[in-house]
Formats: sequence, structure tokens, C-alpha cells
Amino acid sequence: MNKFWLVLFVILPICTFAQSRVTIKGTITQANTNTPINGANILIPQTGYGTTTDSLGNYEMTILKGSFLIKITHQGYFSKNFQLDATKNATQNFTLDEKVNDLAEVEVSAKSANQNVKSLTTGVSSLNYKALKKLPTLLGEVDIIKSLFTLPGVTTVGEGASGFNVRGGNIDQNLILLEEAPIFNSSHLMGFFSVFNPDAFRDFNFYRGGVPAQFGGRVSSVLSVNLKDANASKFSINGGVGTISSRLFIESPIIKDKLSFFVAGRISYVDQVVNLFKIKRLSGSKANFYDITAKVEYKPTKKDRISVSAFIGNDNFKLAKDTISTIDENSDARYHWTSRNLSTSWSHYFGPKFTLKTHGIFANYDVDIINTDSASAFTLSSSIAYKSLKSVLIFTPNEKHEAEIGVQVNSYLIKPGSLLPTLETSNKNPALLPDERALESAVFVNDKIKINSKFDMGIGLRFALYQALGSGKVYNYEANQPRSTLSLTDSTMFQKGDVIQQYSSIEPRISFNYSINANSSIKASANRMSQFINLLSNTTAALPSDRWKISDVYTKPQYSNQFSIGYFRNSKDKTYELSAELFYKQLFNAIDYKDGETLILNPKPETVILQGDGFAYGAELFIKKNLGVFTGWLSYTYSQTLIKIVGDSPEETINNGNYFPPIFNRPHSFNAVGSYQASKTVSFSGNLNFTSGRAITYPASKLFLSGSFLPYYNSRNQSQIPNYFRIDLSMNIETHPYRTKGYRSNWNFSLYNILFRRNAYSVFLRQQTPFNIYDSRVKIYKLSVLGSIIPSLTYNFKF
Amino acid sequence: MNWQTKFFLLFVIACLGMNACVEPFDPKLNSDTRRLVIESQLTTKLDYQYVYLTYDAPYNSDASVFKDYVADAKVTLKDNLGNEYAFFDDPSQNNSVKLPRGYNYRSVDKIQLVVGRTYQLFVETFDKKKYESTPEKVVGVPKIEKVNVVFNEIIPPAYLKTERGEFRVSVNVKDTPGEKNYYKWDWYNVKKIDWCREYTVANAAGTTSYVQPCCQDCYEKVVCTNCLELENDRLIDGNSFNRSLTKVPYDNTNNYYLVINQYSINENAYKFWNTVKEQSKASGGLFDPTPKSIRGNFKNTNNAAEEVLGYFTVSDVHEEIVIIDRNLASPKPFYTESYQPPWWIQLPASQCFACNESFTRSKFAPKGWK
Repeated sequence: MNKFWLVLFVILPICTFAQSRVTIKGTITQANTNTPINGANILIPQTGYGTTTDSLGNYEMTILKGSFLIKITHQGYFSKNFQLDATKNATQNFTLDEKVNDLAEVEVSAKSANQNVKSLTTGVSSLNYKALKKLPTLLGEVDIIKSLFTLPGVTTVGEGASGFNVRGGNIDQNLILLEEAPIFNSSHLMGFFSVFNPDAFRDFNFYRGGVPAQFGGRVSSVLSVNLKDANASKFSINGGVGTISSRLFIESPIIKDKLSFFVAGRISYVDQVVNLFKIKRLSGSKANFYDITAKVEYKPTKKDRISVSAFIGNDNFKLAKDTISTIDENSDARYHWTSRNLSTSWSHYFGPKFTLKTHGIFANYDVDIINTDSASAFTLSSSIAYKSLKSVLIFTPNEKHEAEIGVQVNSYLIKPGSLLPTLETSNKNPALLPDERALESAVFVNDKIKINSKFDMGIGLRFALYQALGSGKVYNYEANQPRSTLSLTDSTMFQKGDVIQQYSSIEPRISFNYSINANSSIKASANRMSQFINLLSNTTAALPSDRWKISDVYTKPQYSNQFSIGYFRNSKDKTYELSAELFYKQLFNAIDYKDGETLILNPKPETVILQGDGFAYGAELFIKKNLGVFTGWLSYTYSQTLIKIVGDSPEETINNGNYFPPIFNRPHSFNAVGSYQASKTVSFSGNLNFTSGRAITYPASKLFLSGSFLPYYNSRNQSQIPNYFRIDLSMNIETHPYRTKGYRSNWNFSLYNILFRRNAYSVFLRQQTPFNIYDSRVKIYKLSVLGSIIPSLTYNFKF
Repeated sequence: MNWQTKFFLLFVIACLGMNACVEPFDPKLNSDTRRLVIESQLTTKLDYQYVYLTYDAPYNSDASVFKDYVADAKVTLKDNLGNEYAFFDDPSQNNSVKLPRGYNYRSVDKIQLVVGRTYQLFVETFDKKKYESTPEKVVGVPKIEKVNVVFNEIIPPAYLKTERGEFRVSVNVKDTPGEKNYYKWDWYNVKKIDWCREYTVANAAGTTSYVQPCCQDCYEKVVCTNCLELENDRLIDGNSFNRSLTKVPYDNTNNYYLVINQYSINENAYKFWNTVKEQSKASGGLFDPTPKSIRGNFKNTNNAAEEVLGYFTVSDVHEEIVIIDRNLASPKPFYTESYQPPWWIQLPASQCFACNESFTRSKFAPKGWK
């Protein structure tokens, strides 16, 4: 397979033609503040050709001589049309007016509507803050991760579960980047909030189909979240005070037009609120978090921009003993986790043809489980630290090519677990698992080629070299025996810096766009992705304390090959857009676990991990209304994922060696999202979600053992829990709809789950009366994480 | 209603919304095959020892696993020295499960296992299907160093007639250093009973129950089903440790006679019983592990594909008897006497019922009874 891609990549010709052209360049800024606008689209509708401004608001395009209408669009600004007579090279600057409360035109996409048809890759979604604000909110906040669930191809195991699943991938197979720095746990409060502060957020790009070559290291999807530019021209504050959480955002210039910053903070106090009402069954629960997102930007020259952004998130979570917590020894345990990210970036604009972006990244994720019970008091700590250097040269030789060439080096340091008894009376022995180190290096090249007016293609190649590094100990096991402590023979020691195991991966990324006409196109993409670090989790929902593991001698890297094809169409006036996509994904070395084994503090995880191959396929439909007082979209996905794990022994085989769906397999998913601007003051929005129930293993029979009735399971995930259905509504009231500056505020009132539906999170089994062994009927129950409607009220302000 | 009150109510609803809720659900599960279940824990204590045979039943149904019995099976225990011990179908001896035949297989003689030997259990059913366990080795168990009984007072609200305390029972054990040890505990209570039989007769008024007094002293063993504790020394190798086992109710002032058995088990048995324990209390919560198959260590000798359930456990055992004095000066239990059936169903002493010796009943007071 690799050879095929390589040949295709090498032999594809790159053709350009010289014609009579002129170069138009300039800057696009905001009308009243002169702030450069990043990501504005400059489009010549006549030819379909266009470009986008960079972070300094600069654009440049080479076009045929002639007289054209130019359309400039940006989600946050009023669109403008200009007549341009392009007879010679020229500099043309434009200004745009900020949309404060735009009644006539609410675009839901960050890019222009034409992007649906014109962009190159399949399976890409972009949303910005203004579009997200139109969604109904859970607990009074805009939530990026929850907005993903309304897009085709994205599901979750259930309410209260961390992470998300994309096109049949597990939650650790999504690369989540905040300003290029990876986020290892995207959830606050076990999934009820995401770590992205809505005030500090500018936009995101979510790649679930064609993934550009500059991204790698995960096999399923990439969510790249960008913070707002810190380019304030004056001091301003905005924030929100809500029933569950509150937020504050401050931005200010330090040196006008040179140096500015913003700081955004968020704090939640659910447990404090609950304590006020003295609800006995919840006393002892802890559920709170805070996070701080900050960015400083420095523009030493017109051509340079240096930015430093930081994120700190801190969570405390403890369920009261008599609620749904069931880990017997850890039922009294408090989970405490902290993410710390620091990204520095330097962009240098060499000229219209070259821009160089260099990133230095540090990310750290720490988790502690703290048990204070005197007989077994302990602290169990684990962490993952990531450092990365990435440099990308953006090269635009002419209007036919837009190339990126880059190099990236990532280092991982995982501390998989250390247990310390914290009281004299504790019966626990200290335990420490050795550190795991790895280095992942990659070079990549990507070129978007405009072959002719009908045909665009993108070709990319990423080469990744992965090395698991010492110091370390590799255990050896008897050949032809299941790997277990019983078949352990000896171990091999590696010194610091020794290469314990090396893997490499060649990853072609190819996409095509064939424009049938100005309003419709067919796109196809194919990519290979690899993944060298894995999250080990064998519970229904991933725990914040789940263990990260590098690929090593025994745990092979995961690979995927994804093929997708789609039809994209816009209505003539761009009011509607439609897409239909099909995908097929091959999964290699997918991870599962032996039955009934412990992962936490296991010094030999290779005795528990099982790997196998699988595949996922599906169809996605998406219809969106972009313009008008009523906007929104419908999305439908059908998908199936199947994995097969066949080992040499029954202990290492799952589901008797037959294909089985993973727990997150949910074949049907339908979403409807709508937003209605009733007046300048009031807007309403709604959200409907239907998803078929996730896979579950039901017992094959019951048996009587040791005085009780027990379920007997003989096949994995062959049934489904009841389907999921939810409707949410929200209302937004602007208090000063006509103000463009000064104090502005709005009230947001939202109702989550207005049908009071108790959607099943899981189904579990209980024998009816433990002492009456003759009455052997077993009761089956469903558990719903949210038992009723959740209203929330938030007051947002800005000045 | 002013806006503050409305806001407050809204807020309370929001908070309650965060509560999980649980309700009955019927996924309509069926089963098309019948699987043999073999359960046996044999120990180093010289006594009659038992093997229990049943079939499984469709899951979400009223079908009983005791509907079809495994009668006329041939059950044999063999050790690595070539010794063989026979078991026979011993109906109606086990009062906790009153079955005619085909469940309760008892060793012909009182037998005891020996630490260090390996044992294998063989079962041949009446339809000539042959089953065997994996060979299992008996490892030694340290003794219980101390049993701790601590009274924990509970102060219920005045209007509730509930127990005013409980006796928390735990054991101290010194683990053997340098080796992998796996522990299993179970326990039972012996009480003196006054009423030896309860029966119901049908009549014009529906049914009437009667209780017959015992003709002599009678002691009943109350086995706590579902009571099982496990421990491994992975994190506490060589240390002394304290393991809490059970809570004895403070429901009268009589002494409470508690027998605690501490067993050694091997790694696979530990995994099996741990799975059983997790399985029986899985709540479907956020942190439940994926369900595990509790298939066990038996196979059909001629058909490896047949699913055979249950487990053959061999253990060294240390038994500890604790007599808990429940006659505290303060607080007094809510009920000071043991439960008595209503007088109108009690039959006179002339219609007494004999205390028949059985697995759970004896005319003889247990060791150290007071």
C-alpha cells in the first residue's frame, strides 16, 4: 500500500502556464480600530479564484488582467464588494465594519459559503465563536466540543463522558490542539464542560476526512483550536456571571500597535452551589474547576509577529459515596487533574511568496487520585509531558500553488504512575512505575495545486520516525505462551538515551476537487495516519486518570487508511449548502484489553493489551442554511465500526475471534440545529439530537454461583442500549442592540433536554433479592446521567 | 411569587437535574443453549466437602436454574499422588437449597486437602459428557492474627425505629513476604433457633401458616450469600494489614456467634472471584469496567468449544470463631429480644418438629458456644 502512494505522489506532474497577469496586494483592517483582520476571504466570484489574509491582515493574489468584482467576506464583519480594474500591479487596502448585531446576515460558517464547494478536502468543518453563540448551550456556555457533536461523523459514548469519537475512532485518536499545543484531556467536570474558554476562542478547524500533512500523530481526526488574536487597540473587559460558572476576559494594548495581551479566566462552583441547598445525597461531592487562558502578542516590525499563549486548567472531582460511584476502594477518592500548556510562535513574512511560522510548544497533564481513608490513604499520581518544535514554511510561488514544507520534533515523557501512602496507618506500599520516554520526528510537505479552473488537488506526504527511548526495562516472555506474569522469563535493561524500539511511517495525504460548475463539486481524499501514544482505558467512560502509554516493543503503533468521497453543492444564491460524503477506514493495531485486568499501576501493561485490526465505514449528509433570519443545519450519519482481536490463546482473544463493534459504535446519528433572529433584541435557537444507542454486552444467561445469581457474558458488544434523543432550546436577549461601543450586555437563558427525557447512559443488572434464591428473576435497569431538564441563566457583559 | 423565589426554584431544579437516575428497563434477553455450571471450593479442613452442579437459564426471565437438575452425575476428585475421592448425589441435606436431587454432591467420607498437592475435579453427567477442571495447587494461608470488633453507634432520627448501631468486624493478617498471596474470606453466623419448621396450608380463607417449635436445642448456620471479600498482596507484600469484612447488626442483646474463614487461593481463582464480585455489584456507572466473562476453569474433555461455567477452587483455610457480646450498657438496641413469630401461628410444644442434622442445622452447640 505504501509503495502505491509513493509512486502516485512522485509521478503526479506539476504544471503551470504563463499568462498575462497582475499582482494585487494589500491589507484588510477593521474600520474603526485599524486592527488587521486575519482570515478574511477575498474572492473574485467571476473566476472563483480567491485568497485569505494572513495574521497581519496581508493578502496577495496574482490574477488575470481585467475588470472584476471583488467580494470580501469574514464571519465577524459585514461583507463588502468592490469593483477592481486590474491593469497593472497595485496595492489595494480595504477596511471592513464589525458586525455587532447583524440581523440580515448570520453566516454559520467561518469561511465564505463558497468554501463548501471550493475548498479542497473532504470531511472538514470550521466554526467560529459567533456561529457557536447561536447554538443552544448546556449550563450557560458555548461549548466547542458539544458543537462538534452536531456535525456529521462525531459521537460520544454518553453524557458525562470525556472526549468524542470520530468516524469509528476511539477518544485518544483525536489530536486536539490549542494554539498547536496538544490537550490530553479536553473535558472539565468529566465531560460537562470543555477546556476551551469561549471568550478566548476565535475559531477551530476540525478535520475528520482529509487531514493536511502538517498534522500527525493520531489516527482519527484533528481539532485545531485557535485563540483570538491579542491585538487590542483599547482596554476592554467582558465576561459572564452564571448559575454554574462565571467568566472574565480582559484585553489591553501595552505598546500601541506593538504589544498587547488578553487574559481569560473561568471558574465553576457546582459543588458550592449544591452545598447551599444541603442535598444530603450529594454531600461530600466535589465538582469544581478553574482555567486561565492568556495570550501576549508582539509585533516588532510590520513583518514579524511573536505570540506567547498559555493555558492552565485545574479540576477537582469527587462523587459522594452513595451516588453512582462504584469503585469500591476508590469510592472515597478525589480526582484532581491539571493541564498546563505553553505555545510560543513566531511568524515572519518574507514577502508575498514566503512566510515562516515557528512554534515552540510545551504541554503537561498531571492527574492525582487522592484517597484520605485512614486505612488505605494514598496519592496515586501520573503525568504526561510533551515538548515540541515545529517550523512551517509557506511558499506561494504563483496562483497555482500553495505549498507548506515543515519539520516537527516531539518528545514525550510519561510518568505512568506512582503510589505513595499518605498516612502512617495506610496499609499501602509505595509503588513507582518507571518513566516512559519517546521521540517523534516528522518532515512534511503539502501542496495545493490548481490544475485548471475545474480541477484542484492537494498532495501531501508526511514521514514520521518514532523512537521509544531508555532508560528502561523490557520484560521478556516465553515464546508461544500468552504474555503474563506466569510466562515472564527475564528482562533487558536499556541505558538513558538508548533506542528501545523504532518505528517509521510514510503517510501520503491526497485530495482532489473537481468543480462540476460554480455551485457544485466532487471531492475525494485518501490519507494514512499513524499514532504512537495511546490512552489505556477499559471502563465505559474514560477516566481523567486513565494511563497514557507510548508504543514500545510489545505495543505496536496504530495506523489508519482513510478513503472518502463527497458531493458538495450550494444553491445559486449561496443560501443553502449541501454535502454528502462516504468514507471507508482501515484500522490497524487497534487496542483492546484482556478481560478483568487492571491497567493502573500495572508494571507490565503488555500482559493486558491486545491489538487487532478493524474497519469503519459510513455515509454523512449535511444540509445548511447560511443566510436569513433563520439559519441552521441538518446532519445525518450512518456508520459502523468493527474490530477483530485474535490471539494465540483464548485469554488473548476477544469475542471468540469474531468481529465486534467497539463500545462507542452508534450506527445512526441525526442532528438539527436552528437559530432564529426574532428581532434586533431577541434570538432563539434550538438543537435536536438523535443517536442510536451505543454498543453494550448483555449477558447470555444467568448462573447460580457462591449463593448469588450472576450474569454470564460470552460475546462482546453485540447489543445496543436504547436510542438517545434530546432537544435543547435557548434564548438570547441583547440589552443594548444598537450600541457599537460602551457597555453592552445580554441575557442567555437555556433549557437543556426540554423533553425531560431520561436518555440511557448504560444498562445494568441487579438480582432482585439476594437472599431469596428461588426467585431468580433479575432486574435490569437503565442509568441516565441527566435525569431531567437543566435550565441555566447567564448574564454576559462587555465594555 | 416574586422573581427571587422563581429563581430559587429554577435553581433547585437545575441542581436536581445533575442527579443521575435509575429506572427499570427490559431488553428482552433470551438464551438458546444450556450450559453446565460446576462450583466447588475444597479446603484443608477435615470435613464433608461439596460440589454443586446446576445449569444456567435464560437471563431476563423467570426461569429457574433449579428447574433442570444435574442428577446421576459421577463426580471424582483426583490428586497428583493418584488418590481418588468420590462424591455422591446427596439430596435434601442442604437446608439452604432444598432440592430433591442433582445439585448437592457430597464427598463420601470426610476429606481434607493437603498444602502443596495438586487436585483435579472430574464430572461425568448422565448423558456421558465428560468435564474436567484444570489442575489446581493448594498453597498455604497465614493465620488470622486478630479479629477486631468495633461498635459504631448510629443515631437515627427519633421517629425511625431502626438499629442504633453496628459491630464492624475486621481481621489483622501478616502477609508472607516474597511470594504472591491471594486471600479470600467468607463468614457465617450460628444462632440457636426456637422454631424448626414453618408450613402453610390452603384453606377457605386462602392460606394459613404455622410454625412448629423444635423438639430439642437446635443450632442453625446462617450463610451470608454474596458475602465474599478478596485481597492480594501486590501493594502490601510482607506487611501486616487490616481487612474489614462485615458489619454485625445490633438488633438484640444476644451474643452473636460469627465464624470467619480465611482461605488461600491462587492467582486465577483470585481473578475469577474478583470478577464474580465485580459482576455482582456492577452498577452501570461511569466507572464500570467492561463486562467480563466468568467462564472458569472447566472444559468438556471431548469438546473444547462447549461453554462450561463455574470454578474449582482449592484452598488452605484458617478458621476463627468470634463471639460478639451485644449486651451493651448504652445505647440499648431498639429490639431487645430476638424476633418471634406472631402467637396465633405458633403451635404448642406437643407438636414439635425434630432438629434434623444437615448442612446448616445441628443439635449440637458449635465449639465455644455461649
